[in-house]
Amino acid sequence: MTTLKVNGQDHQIEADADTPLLYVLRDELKLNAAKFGCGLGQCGACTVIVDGKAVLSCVTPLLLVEGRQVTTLEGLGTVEAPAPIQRAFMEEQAAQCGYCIAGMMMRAQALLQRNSKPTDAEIRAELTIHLCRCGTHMRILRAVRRAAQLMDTAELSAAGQEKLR
Amino acid sequence: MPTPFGAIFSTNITPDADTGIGRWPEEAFRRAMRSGVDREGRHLYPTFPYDHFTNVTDEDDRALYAYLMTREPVVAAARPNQLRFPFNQRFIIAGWKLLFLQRETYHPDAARSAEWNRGAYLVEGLAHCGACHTPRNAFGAERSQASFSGGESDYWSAYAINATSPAPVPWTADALDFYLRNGWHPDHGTARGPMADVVRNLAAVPGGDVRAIAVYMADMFGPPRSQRSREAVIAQAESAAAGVEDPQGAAIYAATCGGCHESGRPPPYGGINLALSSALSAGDPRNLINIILAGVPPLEGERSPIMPGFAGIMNDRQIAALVNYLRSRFAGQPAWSGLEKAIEETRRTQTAYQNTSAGPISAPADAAQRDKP
Repeated sequence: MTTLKVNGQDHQIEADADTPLLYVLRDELKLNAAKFGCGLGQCGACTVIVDGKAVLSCVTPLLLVEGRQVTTLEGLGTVEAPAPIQRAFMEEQAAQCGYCIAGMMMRAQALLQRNSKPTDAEIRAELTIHLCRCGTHMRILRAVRRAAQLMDTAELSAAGQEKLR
Repeated sequence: MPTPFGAIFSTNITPDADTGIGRWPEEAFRRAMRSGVDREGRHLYPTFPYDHFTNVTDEDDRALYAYLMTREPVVAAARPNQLRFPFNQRFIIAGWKLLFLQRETYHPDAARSAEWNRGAYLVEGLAHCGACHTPRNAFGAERSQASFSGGESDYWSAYAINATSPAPVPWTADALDFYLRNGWHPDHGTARGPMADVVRNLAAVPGGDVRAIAVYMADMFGPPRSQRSREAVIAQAESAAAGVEDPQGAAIYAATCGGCHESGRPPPYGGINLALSSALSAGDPRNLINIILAGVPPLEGERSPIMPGFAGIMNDRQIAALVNYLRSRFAGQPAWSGLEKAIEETRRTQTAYQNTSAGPISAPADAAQRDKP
C-alpha cells in the first residue's frame, strides 16, 4: 500500500510499487488529464508536476513518488474557474486535437512557477521535448506568454486587494 | 569554459573588424595557431588549444583562414574572463609556454600506413582529442607522459582512450569509426555531453578522415587485454548479478530503467545493456549521474538514441541507491567514494552546463537536415 498525495488529497494506492504514476492517476484515481502518448518518456503528453517540477508520469514508478506532492491539470483549475494557464490556452485557442495540451500546460506551469517572466527562448527550451502533431506550436508559445501576463496581473491585483484591506 | 582557475570565454572569430578577427592578416592567424599569440602580441590562454594547433600544416592554416574570413561578420564582443589573481595576468602565460608548450609534437612515422599518419596528424592537431582525454597537471597543461589516460570537460569525465580504457568490450578501429560517425555503438552505448558535440562536428568531416582517426586511436588503445565479446560481457554480468543484494536500488532499476535497458531492442532505439557501459566501469561516477539526471535528448531530424532525464523526479538519495546498485551489479566493482558529493555537484553543474551550452541541445547533427520539417 502506497500513500500518494495528489492535488492536496491523500490516497491509499494498492497498485505495485513499480506501476507507472500515469496508470495510477488515470486508472485508479480517474484523473484523465495526463495522457498516454508513447509510454517511453519521449512525447510529454503524460507530464504532471511533482514537488514543483515537471515530470513524465509514464516513466515514473510509484515508488519514486511516495510522500511527494503530485499536481495534475485537475488540481490547477476547473471548467468554472480555470487557472491562468488554462485560461490562456483557451483564449489563444492553442488546442487543435488537444492530446498534447495537458502535458504542455503542466510543464509551462512548472516553468512559470519558478520563472514568472521567461523569454521566448526559455519557453521553447523548456517545451522542446513535448511533441504536437497538429502543429499549433505558435499558439502554444503565445498561450504561455499570455499565461505569464495573466499570472503577473493576478498577483498584482491580489497584492492590491491586500493593500486595500 | 570552466577551468580550475576561473571561467574563460571564447572570442569572436568572425571577420568583424572591431570585435572579431577582421583586421587580422593571415600571418597573425597562423601565429595564433602556432604560438598562442593574438594580433596585438598578447598571450592567449591555452584553453585555445594551440598546444595541439601547433601541429597544423601551413596549408590547413591557410584554408582555415580563408574559410573564417569569408563568413558573415558578427558584432559580438567577448565577455571578460573571470579568472582569479594571478591567473588574470596574461604575462604568466609566457612562463607557462616556456615550461609546458611543446611545439610540433606530431612527426610522420614512415613505418606506418598513410591512413595511420593522417589519423595521427588529425588527432594530435585539429581534432585535439587529448585536450579532454589527457589528464592535466596543476598548471592546466596536458601531462604528455599520460597521453589519453582520461581527463574531463565541462563537468563530464572524458574516459581513458588508451590501454587503461574502462570499456567492458575492447574498442576496435571499426567500432570507433562507427561510433564517431553515428554517436553510438551497440557494444558501447551513446556519445553524450561534450562528446555528443564532437560527433555532431564530425558529421561535416569526410569519412576517410574519420576512419583515419579511428585507425590511429585503435592503435593508441593498444592490443585488447581480452577478447571479450558483447555476449560474453552480458552473460558474465548476469551470472554475477545473483549475488548482489540491494533491495532499494534494485527496485528503482527494475521499475524505472529495466523497461528499456533490458528490452532486448537493439540500440539506438532500445537502451544498451548496462553491463556494456563505460559509465559504470569508469573510475568517476559523474557521467552516469549526468545521464540519469539529463537523459539523452533527441536530435531533430535524426534517428538517434533517446532517454528521458530523471532530474525532476529522483532525489539525491534515490540516485545514490540506483548508482550503487548499477555499479555493483553491472560492473562488479566497489561503490564509488564521495558519491553523495558527486551527485550534489553534478546536479548543480549540469544545470549550469545546460544554461551555458552554446546552441539548442537538440541541434541536428547533419547540417543538411537543418531547417527541414
